[in-house]
Amino acid sequence: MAAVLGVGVTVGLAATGGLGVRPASAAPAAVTAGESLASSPRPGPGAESTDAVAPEAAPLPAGVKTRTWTVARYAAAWRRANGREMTDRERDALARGCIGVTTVNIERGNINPPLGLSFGTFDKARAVQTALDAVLAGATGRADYADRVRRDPLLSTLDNVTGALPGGDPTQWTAVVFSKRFHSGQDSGWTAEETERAFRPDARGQVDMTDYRYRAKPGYVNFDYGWYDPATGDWWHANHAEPDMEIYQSTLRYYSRPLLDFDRQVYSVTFAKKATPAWYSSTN
Amino acid sequence: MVFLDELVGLTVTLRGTAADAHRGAVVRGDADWVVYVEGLADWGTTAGRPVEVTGLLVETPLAPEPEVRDGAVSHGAAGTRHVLRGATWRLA
Repeated sequence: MAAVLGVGVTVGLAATGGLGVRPASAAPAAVTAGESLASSPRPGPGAESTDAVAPEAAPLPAGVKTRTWTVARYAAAWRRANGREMTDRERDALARGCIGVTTVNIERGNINPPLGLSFGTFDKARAVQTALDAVLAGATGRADYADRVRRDPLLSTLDNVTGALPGGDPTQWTAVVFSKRFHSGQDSGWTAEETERAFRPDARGQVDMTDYRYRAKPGYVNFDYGWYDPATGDWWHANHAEPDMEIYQSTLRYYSRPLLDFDRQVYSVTFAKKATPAWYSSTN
Repeated sequence: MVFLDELVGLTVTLRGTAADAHRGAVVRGDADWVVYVEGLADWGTTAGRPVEVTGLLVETPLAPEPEVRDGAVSHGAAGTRHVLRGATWRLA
């Protein structure tokens, strides 16, 4: 490949091979400079949702892959869905970028979203979410929750299900799904074979994230979290932390598109605090 | 990449493969150098094809530095990357 000065002088670069001056005007561009495939911010009317922690938004129209939201508009949609403003702590959490979007929707403080229940496919995560919600619905306490998990044909085969439940009454929690994209090279001491084996689903479909250290592939973004919104079927993520943070509402295909930054993607299930949707009290 | 460092501040044409990164479209060389194309979110169906991109080569941060506060990690990218500003491109 060649790198060529566009100032009338051709400079050879041994590291890159061939040469050739090609002024920009020599041929039409394949794509227009500055073109963005993302659509404009268009927050839509309210969508009914039993998940009060998701922002109030319309699904992406057919054919639209992603939509960009300002943080202010996202916070307004979140307020409409939850019937209250974000607290200062929640705004601080949101300002962390994609990981902040997932964090504020879990409503468990300014934490890193737990990764103990991570899976290789969205379908597996959804199955676990459904099973967990069934167990939570009838649980009378932590001991009963643990007993129900032991008797569940799916949950009983998985690691970390009992330990993942936060404190307090189990019925205050609901199971939710988010995704995380990241780089496998989390330990510079690993061999290439060890890195290749890391963070792969096991026979049950579960991914062991114990050795994950939040490290980026050198020169790239450290990760991208996507919050799954069951009301719209879309995924909420972000460009980066503040300043100049933008929030994206995307299809799973667009959120998961091949990117040089990441070589792994998991779908994680965790527990979010239940809340009453703002629309619920006025319509029921 | 040292050769890119020497070209910063000049208008250059780079030939490589179109690829996408989280912070936008890039052109990637055989020697694994990567240069971002400012203003282009992704290549769409052009990804994976050989391209020539011309623009002013600059070096700039792509995102805030990741921070850890009380164990809570933020979303970002460390250091700076090479970027082609005011770019035009064509299939190579």
